[in-house]
Amino acid sequence: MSKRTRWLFSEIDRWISGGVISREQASSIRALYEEPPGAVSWGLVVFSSIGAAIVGLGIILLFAYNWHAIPKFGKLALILGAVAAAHAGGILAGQREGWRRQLSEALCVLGTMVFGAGIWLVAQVYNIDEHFPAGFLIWGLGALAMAWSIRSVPQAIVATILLTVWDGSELFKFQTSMNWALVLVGFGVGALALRLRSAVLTAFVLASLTLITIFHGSFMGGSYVAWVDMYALSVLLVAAGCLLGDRATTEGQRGVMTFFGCAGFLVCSYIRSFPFGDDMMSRPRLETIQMDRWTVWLGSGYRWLLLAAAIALFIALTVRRVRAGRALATIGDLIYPIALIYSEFSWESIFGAQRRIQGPPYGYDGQYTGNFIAFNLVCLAVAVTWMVRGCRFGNLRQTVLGSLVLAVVIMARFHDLPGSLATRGLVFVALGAVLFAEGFYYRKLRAREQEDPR
Amino acid sequence: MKMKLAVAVALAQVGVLAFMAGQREWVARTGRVVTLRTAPIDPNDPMRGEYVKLNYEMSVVPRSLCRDGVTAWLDDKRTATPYLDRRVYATLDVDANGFAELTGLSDLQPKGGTYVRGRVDSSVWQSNGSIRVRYGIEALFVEEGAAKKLEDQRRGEKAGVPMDVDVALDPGGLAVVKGYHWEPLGLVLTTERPPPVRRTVPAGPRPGIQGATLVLKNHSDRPVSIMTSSFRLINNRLRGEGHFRWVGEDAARSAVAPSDLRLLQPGEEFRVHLDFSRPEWSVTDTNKKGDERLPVALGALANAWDASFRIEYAPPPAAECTSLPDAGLIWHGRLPSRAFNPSGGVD
Repeated sequence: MSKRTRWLFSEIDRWISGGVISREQASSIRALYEEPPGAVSWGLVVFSSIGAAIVGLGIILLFAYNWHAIPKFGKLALILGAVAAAHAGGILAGQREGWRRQLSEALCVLGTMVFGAGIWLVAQVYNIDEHFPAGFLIWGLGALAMAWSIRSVPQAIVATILLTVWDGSELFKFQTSMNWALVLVGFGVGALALRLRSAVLTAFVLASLTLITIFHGSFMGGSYVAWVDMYALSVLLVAAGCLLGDRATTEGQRGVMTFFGCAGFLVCSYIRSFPFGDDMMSRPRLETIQMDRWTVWLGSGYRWLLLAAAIALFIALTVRRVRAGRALATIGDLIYPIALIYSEFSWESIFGAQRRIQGPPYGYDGQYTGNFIAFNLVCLAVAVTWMVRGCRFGNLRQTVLGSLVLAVVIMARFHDLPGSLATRGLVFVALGAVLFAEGFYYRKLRAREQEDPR
Repeated sequence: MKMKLAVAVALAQVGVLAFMAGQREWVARTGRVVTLRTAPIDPNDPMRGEYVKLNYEMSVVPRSLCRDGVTAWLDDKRTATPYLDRRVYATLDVDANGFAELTGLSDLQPKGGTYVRGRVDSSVWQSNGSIRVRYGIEALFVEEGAAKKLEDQRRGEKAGVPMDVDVALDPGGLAVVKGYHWEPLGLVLTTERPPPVRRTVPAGPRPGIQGATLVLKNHSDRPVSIMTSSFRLINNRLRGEGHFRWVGEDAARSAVAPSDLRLLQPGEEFRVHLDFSRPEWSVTDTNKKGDERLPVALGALANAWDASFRIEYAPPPAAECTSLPDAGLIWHGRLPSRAFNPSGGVD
């Protein structure tokens, strides 16, 4: 039972005793929110799945002891039997009712963990020391296939973690760019997350995609490509979150997408809001990239695809809102695509390197371009939009977050501002005044709402 | 839950494991078995436990043995990144005792013969014209604690004794480790280097290695005959091909004589001292031309930091020893010492 439903049921008892509603009305309300009899207890699933995963890891370590007393075929029979038994138990339990059905998920996770242990056990028995990331790929594909076959969130989470480890180990150990990791996690697991409408799985998929995007960007062209890829992915997620906003069934997923999108966007913008931000973002020269051209083109393709998709989604969002008569709501959100387009196509971005000005501007002793001013404005625009929206729609969380962003940007500029303490003091007085004004504005709007609830 | 699909996935998982094991088991039972010489160290893998890291003689391939595309990779002046993990094939020549020796490394799969497939290693070493290859047989998994014991053995009672690994090969070059064994003889090298000259301030340059004492010991449980004059100087191939050449390589090999023969009982050792100031231990620098290419005594090479050598015990082949008494007791394998640098460093 969800926290909200539990709260509602406790309130219904209070309403009955207070004479607000009748017992019949209370029963009708309860019937609306009653969970189906076969509903899975998420607590049991989560804890039993974590337990199964830990048991699986324990089995891996047990086999790692490599007892010579157990003959080769004994070890193989043990591991193959354990995989088969765990999956058979899980599949059979899934056909039953009650607690056995809830145990099914955990048994199948155990089976997949033992499958992974088996890959390394076979390698141990036959002294195989080949390309080890392949082991994570096979294990991850096994988990992904099982996740789709039994529609399992824990299996999909295991698959996401393994595919991310596969990608990272290929990249860092063997300098091999695995573009397939993006496809497998994005479409293989992401599609399942959408189908199951699981916010937890969506969070894992987005965390994985963020890591893979940063890994690949850094590897393909250093910090600049990693930054651009991440910026485009963040804007895409913000747009996707807004588009999903109208559907109540995907509320959790919308929240996760918006969180990852806004967090990524703000972190990226914040990095570039420093005068030395451009120095960290040198554009790569293709001839210096130590990779075959096909991999480089695939990597570039991913970047442009993200850019195009982000802008296309924002266009779709704007069209939908204009048709619904909510054009005003779009204005604040346009910061995201505009900043993305600016980052890629602005005069400063393309020719900034030739237009560098000798410092020290605002305390920064070095060369700089005008980009950092633009990204400061982006951060401020996001902060102001959140503050205004939060106040207007009574969303305290958004109001506080907007104020925090504003405060962080102003604090960061403390060191960049001209040396005069008077100037710095004035800026801080202004910040304090804005936050005070925001508080009064929020209170005034709430008071007006209470007077006229319409 | 779609039961049929779930059962299919579960069976596929079991099938993947069975295939992995079955393929290796098939190669181990039916493949051609060759023996490879190694030098072990003992790391630990959290997923698979303890193992002995096997570093084969053929793990580092000099330029002279590279063929086809591999030669072009060595000529590429960029870093090694584009060639990491590329598939390569090492062709082997197997002697009568089953010992395999590398004869070439190519990116093209050989049409026949004995070969093992590998991949260009992540720690490619191209600067000196050699390439490091991983064959997928670089680990020997052992029970917890056994790797340390093996390493202690190698440093203690089995000091200088090479470990050989028996490997089964399938026709496609897939290699499976079958086991390992120790050679009957061990060779221990101790170098002699005078202290720095202290009469000047600051102290003058320290002379290089002036000589070495070699100890050949019979570690087996049966008598073994050795040839007391069968030592030669070789380049340390793990450091590339090297540009120094031992003068003894060009000298005609003297006929085997019974006086060279020495029978070592189990546990018995033979000790010999080599004086590197003598002309028979001179080397020529192949990088130099004409008159500059004169033999230099090994003891005078103190400034040759890029030089790395081994002393190898290499008795004549069995066919040349048939006339000798107890010819059947002669061990005919090659036994290299630890590598040393004439300036004083010892691996």
